Amino acid sequence: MRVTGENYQAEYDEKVGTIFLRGNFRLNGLEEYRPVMDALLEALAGSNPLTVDLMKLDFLNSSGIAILSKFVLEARKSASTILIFSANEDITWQSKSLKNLQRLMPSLELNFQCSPTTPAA
Amino acid sequence: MKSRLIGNFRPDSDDTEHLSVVFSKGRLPVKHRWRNNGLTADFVANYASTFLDPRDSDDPRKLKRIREIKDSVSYVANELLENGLKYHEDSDEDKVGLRLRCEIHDDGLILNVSNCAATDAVAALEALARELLVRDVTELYFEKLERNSGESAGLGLITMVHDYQAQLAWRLLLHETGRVTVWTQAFIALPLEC
Repeated sequence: MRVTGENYQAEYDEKVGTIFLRGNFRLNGLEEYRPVMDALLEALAGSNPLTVDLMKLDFLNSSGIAILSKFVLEARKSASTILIFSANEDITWQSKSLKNLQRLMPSLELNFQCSPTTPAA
Repeated sequence: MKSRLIGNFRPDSDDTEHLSVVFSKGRLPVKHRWRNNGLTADFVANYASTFLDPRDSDDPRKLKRIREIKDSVSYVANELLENGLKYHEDSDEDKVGLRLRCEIHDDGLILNVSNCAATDAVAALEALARELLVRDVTELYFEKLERNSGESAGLGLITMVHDYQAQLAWRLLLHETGRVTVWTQAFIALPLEC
């Protein structure tokens, strides 16, 4: 499943058990984020363990953070779910906000890595 | 007209370096201009970073800190603009649509967004604003996330305070027609040290 917009993309690759979120998500509220949420839930139903790859997710607004936390709340309903966030420590919003999601789901594996190429200052 | 302040609202300082962006009423309703939020927020962050640029430094920790500040300005400005647009209603009382002002001070940056809104929308904002000023913000944040229905009302303001340590304040100008001009202000302190 693939969802694309002006500056963003969500793509679920079942073969590698990973959903990739890329670009800048600045959508307006739940309604605009619904296709992205549907892709996340499809990935959750289709893969365990599931990796959410955020390495190229440069920007997420607070509506996006609300969607991501709603997804984590869904994931924690099943004790057998193994959820991994592959995160980029060079992207500011990720280093500031992602640890909050881990508090919602303590078993969430949050793996921070540096980006292969540091974004321009 | 009555005016109310919530929190430590800093008045405009015209002799301070600043940038103003005004979205006038015109060809399109302000609400149809959503994509301009990100463009404007990035522009303001770039503008602000000019004053942080250590041309004499190649210290990677300092450069990283500058990038963090720039990204923080971009996030906060974007959230302020999104909130302003969500609740904005074009009105005769307020000739201008939506305004953003960024002031550069030695100890930090002030981002101010003003818009005109209906009284009902302002009542909910005022309740959240007062909650943000008196309650533990971490507790408030996780309450909000646990109750999450996917709606993000209020989460933008909470993340600004919790994740970006912005200090928020508001000015409300109550018009006789029942509409309110709202200024939402975020102060971002600027310790350049890591």
